[in-house]
Amino acid sequence: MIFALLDDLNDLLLTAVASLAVAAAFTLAVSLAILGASKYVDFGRGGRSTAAYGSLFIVLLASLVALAIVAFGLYLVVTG
Amino acid sequence: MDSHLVLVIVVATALVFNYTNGFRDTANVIATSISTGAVSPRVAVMAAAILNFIGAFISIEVAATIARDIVDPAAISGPSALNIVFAGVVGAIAWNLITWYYGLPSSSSHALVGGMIGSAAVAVGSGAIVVGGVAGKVLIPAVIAPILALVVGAIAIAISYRVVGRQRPGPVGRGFRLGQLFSGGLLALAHGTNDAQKTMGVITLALVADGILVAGSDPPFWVVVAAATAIALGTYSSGWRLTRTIGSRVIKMDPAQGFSAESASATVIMASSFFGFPLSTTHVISGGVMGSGMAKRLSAVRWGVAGNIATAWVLTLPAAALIGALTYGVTVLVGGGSVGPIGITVLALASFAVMLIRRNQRGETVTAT
Repeated sequence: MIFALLDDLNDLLLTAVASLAVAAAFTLAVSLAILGASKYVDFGRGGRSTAAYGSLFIVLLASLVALAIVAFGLYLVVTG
Repeated sequence: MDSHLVLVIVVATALVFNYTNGFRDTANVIATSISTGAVSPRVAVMAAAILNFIGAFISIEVAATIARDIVDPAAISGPSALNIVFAGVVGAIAWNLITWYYGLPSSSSHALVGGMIGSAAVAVGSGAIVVGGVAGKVLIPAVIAPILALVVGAIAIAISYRVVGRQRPGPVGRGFRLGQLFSGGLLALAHGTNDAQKTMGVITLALVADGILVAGSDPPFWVVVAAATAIALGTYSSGWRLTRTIGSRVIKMDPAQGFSAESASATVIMASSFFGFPLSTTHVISGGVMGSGMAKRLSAVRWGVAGNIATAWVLTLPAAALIGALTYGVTVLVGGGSVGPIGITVLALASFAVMLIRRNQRGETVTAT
């Protein structure tokens, strides 16, 4: 019983680490995408096209990373 | 024939439990998205119902925990086995209804586990309880998970504010509302994954008890479909009422906080489902909301909600266990077999109808804890 309990506690610890890592990475990616979008609007209005395109690139990259995190997380849960 | 009739009653009762679970939890799953204006109530309810349904198919680890790690399936075999499962589910439903009627905090998951423990302990003795499983899979995670969601929510909102805190609120708000379509969707999916599986586990345990499945079997596909449908219908049917009442009781938070709370709750529930921990999703979501609310000031957090969770921790398990034990006692008193479950089902339906009428006469609305 003790070993089973330790096994469960180990799983609980992994749950904590996985939740922290995934939530932090997902939030960071989405926040960066929003930051990029905000800058894109600012630079676009200011006529700085290179900076605006750079911001757009960050939006797309961060959005892709956010989607990849969700897809990979779901894949892990589905495949067990 | 007699045992199969009881099996049908047990399956129906378990599905009713799952329906009430979806009905009660909808508010918690979609409230954050609605309060920040990310999505309209009708769309949120519809999306939550669909994602709850899909979520039920994602994993079966929690179902395995309910079927194997709470009550020993081998210990409750025999003629009274189905009545034990029935009494356990009735214990959970009855406690859910009592807490709903009196507006007390509760946890459907803990009620289910408590009901099963109570009925099995009275019928077979404490040897039928998998003590290590109850402690490691239910009790410890019940305490840890909401705290974990609170910490993850606080870290998520800290990251959000750090990255976009100095930007103009308009575009940032719109961005996080868009992000909430994903985080809210993930939360509904995670809710379906964890909560629908509890019913799958109970039905699987009943099938094992009836000798249709061998101990250790996974839930059959029809069980997965039935549980998914029940929770989705419960979610959907609660929504129309919710659209009228949601505005008065949701927590006011900005879109970044809503996004962080949903992301934190969804990841904790999903990771827990992966490892087979049957959580109270309500408690986890409350933890996530409190964590993201702490970012501005501690007084912004509704600490009364934390008190409600603590009360639910203390009360739910023993109360549901007591009702489960009493229910099993009644089935024995009336001679075992199918007489007890049939009589109790009829009595329960009549009691529920009376409660519903009285509550409607008082003009009260359904509120989730």
